[in-house]
Amino acid sequence: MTHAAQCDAIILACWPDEDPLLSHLGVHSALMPIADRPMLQRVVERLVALGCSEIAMVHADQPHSAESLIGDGARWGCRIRHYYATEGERPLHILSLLAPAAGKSCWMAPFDTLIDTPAAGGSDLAYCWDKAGDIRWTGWARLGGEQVRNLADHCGNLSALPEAFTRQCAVAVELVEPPLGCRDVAQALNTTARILSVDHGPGGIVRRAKKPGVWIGNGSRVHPSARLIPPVFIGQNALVNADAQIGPNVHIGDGCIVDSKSSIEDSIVLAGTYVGRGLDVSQSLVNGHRFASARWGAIVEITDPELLRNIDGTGPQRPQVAWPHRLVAGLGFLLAWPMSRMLQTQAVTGSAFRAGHVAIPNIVGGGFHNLAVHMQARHEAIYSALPNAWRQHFHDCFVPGLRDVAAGRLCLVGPQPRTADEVMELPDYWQSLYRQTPTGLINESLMLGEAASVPEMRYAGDALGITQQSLFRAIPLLLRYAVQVARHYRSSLPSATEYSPLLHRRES
Amino acid sequence: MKLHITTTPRKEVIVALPTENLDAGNVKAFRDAIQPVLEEQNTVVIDMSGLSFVDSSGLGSLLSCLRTMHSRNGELRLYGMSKPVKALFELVRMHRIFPIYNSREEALEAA
Repeated sequence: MTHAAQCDAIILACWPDEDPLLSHLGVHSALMPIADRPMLQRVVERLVALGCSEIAMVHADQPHSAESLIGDGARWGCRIRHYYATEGERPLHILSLLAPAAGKSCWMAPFDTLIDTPAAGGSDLAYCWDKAGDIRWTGWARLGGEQVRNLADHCGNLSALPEAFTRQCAVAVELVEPPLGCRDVAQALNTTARILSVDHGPGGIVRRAKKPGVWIGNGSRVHPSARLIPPVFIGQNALVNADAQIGPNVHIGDGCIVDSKSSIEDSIVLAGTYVGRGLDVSQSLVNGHRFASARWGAIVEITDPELLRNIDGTGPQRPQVAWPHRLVAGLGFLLAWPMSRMLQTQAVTGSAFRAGHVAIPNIVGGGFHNLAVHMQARHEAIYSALPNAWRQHFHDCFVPGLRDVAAGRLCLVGPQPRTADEVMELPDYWQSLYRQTPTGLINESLMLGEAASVPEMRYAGDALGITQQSLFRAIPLLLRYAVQVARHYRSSLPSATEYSPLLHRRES
Repeated sequence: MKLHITTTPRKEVIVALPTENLDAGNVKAFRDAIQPVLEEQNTVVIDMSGLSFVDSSGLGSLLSCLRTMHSRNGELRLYGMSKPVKALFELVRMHRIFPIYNSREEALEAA
């Protein structure tokens, strides 16, 4: 904006003292969403409610995010012009051009702080709060033209803006409640609690209210066994899994996943964050893989994606099968299927129809559910050293499974095929493998054969499968599998009626 | 990894970790170094004041130390945690499992 004009309100977007913890977390105090909308938006709404229609916003630098959020103010029925503080001795020189004419006054407000109910009273009034006997300016004031020009002329440093105001502006003081804001983690948590505890009425928070004090955004899902303790705000497309406990005083951002058995209280979880299983988040601000603890005044970076991480995309995702795997499997199926049909002198199974089920994570309700696949799980036969187990695995599991890999239902190397019920019986750490990657056609424990009959070896094989997702590591395993099958391809296959009771007997 | 080991008159062993990070890069060395201490002593106190970062494998190794001590009816205590490490312990609920003290004196008097 090149020219200045008189206005009803000035928003100071050049307020000093950004909390280092917030900066390290990568969040901006004015843009942090508190129960649906950022503080900056709330400030604009408050000014419009006070009758302001011409608003000037003075930025310290080029904060495009703040400018793009607010725009020209048309959606609030006001006009917002953007100005920039200059470098040099009078950074707020622009205020002298924006000062109201004689006999008029304008509102002044910081961009990241809200006070409860500023009365639309007389001119030359500063709204302050009492912090343990220390009277502090909230940043809100109603000033005449002379006071605004005083501030413009005598504020030589943006970081000393509050001091310059107190020193230069001779105004009356009105004490108000502690301001709402997000200038540090503790204040952000307190502000969230205060905003959520207010009865907002219809449209106050633009979300559906599940019960008093619980707001849930569109597209979000909460497992029936999760416990929500009001006040709680959950943004759009979020997922709260089984047995999680959320609240009180919790803000969950858009697209977050709170995994099962986690507990979150007095905290803010910013958009696109995964909160892992069984975590205890308290008095913290979580942003992706970092969190700031208000209790300890410390910021912690988490390197384990199973605990905290950023979620790419807008919502929960299922693990995907890489395209190179699908391509190799498709080619392999075209080669192996005719060979399998030719060698299969005694037809057992190998049906072209869906024959078995494998577990896939249920991204909506938590846990796992079954996915129909062409292959039949024959790993147990190999671990039990049943006769012709390798041959059976090749015909019933491997060849039809290649088709599933090509279709993206399985991956070449990964955790052993298990049904949803079987996976749910596994320990938590083992289940987490099935959340990270699709079920595998083969893995390292299969190669061990009978030696992998103990659970520890099978877990090791499943876990190793997670690390063998690249084709360079999968192809040597496929070659070893081919050698094993060739070595065991000696005796004739038992018939289906012979094979099934044998398998059941060994499993029981 | 060379641990700094001190024995008190009451036969409690204080182990100071000579590293700022306990993570996947040095957790095996830590296990190898502390295992003989855990097998020989009844009370082991770990000085965490030098640690500024612990990852999940580091937490796992501390849990494994605790299990070893419990299996021998021994005691493992921690003290001198930095604020980020305390925050991490609370996040993963390990502060409910480990006896954690603020200072060496508190840890030694907690018998």
